[in-house]
Amino acid sequence: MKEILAQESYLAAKKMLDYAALRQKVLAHNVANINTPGFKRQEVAFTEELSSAMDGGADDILNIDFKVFETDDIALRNDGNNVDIDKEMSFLAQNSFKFSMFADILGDKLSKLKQAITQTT
Amino acid sequence: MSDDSLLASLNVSGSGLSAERTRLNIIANNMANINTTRTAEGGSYRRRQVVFETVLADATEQLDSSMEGNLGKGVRVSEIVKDQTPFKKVYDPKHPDADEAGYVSLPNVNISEEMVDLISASRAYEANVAVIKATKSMLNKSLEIGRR
Repeated sequence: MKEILAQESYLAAKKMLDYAALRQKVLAHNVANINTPGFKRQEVAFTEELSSAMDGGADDILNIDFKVFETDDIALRNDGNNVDIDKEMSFLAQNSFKFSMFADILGDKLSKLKQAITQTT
Repeated sequence: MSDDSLLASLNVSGSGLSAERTRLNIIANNMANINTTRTAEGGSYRRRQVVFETVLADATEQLDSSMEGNLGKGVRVSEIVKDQTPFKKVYDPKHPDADEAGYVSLPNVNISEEMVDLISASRAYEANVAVIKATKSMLNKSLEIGRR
């Protein structure tokens, strides 16, 4: 078994935490621009599939980047702005939940590591 | 990717708060001046309007991150413009600012329009506050990593 800090699951959880942090910023940007005419909502994507990178090993996971892009969702308003505040708020809730989840996963793994270091019998 | 993105998203929401508050101020100013017929530039008060503009991170800020795409940094008020729609003409010959025909030019402020804008601005403000709350809880959660 690999050591904890090199495990694919640890690295993937770390990547997801980075993703959630970046997505939070993008969602904040969308909400901040709710009244900017012509604004198109932004979204974050992985440059590569995380699941296939996990098969490829640690280096593949570390090499994944994120890209921020403008969506072309239909604007329901006359000013061309396509931010839907209800959607943004539900994405926000999902994103905070994901962030806590991955923070918990990382915390678990690190506490196992700590146990291995401190438990002497 | 930049590691301060969660902290930076507080700034993004902050820019939203500040822009919406400016809008609220302008609306309050419009309502306060609904009957003002004398202004420094002469004539009646003209309704003010804020123009919002989105702020994107510039190239130098993007360089340190390997990320693609233009990361948003929030919103700002790009300018405050005067509404050029004609003034309301009200017949009131006794008014000191009435013209020869007895008509007074009252400001082109429409109270119901302002009320709608007011609600829209305060809802948008609340939405930004909700984002800040969520971000704060995430930041606190991240401090708990490795506590156990």
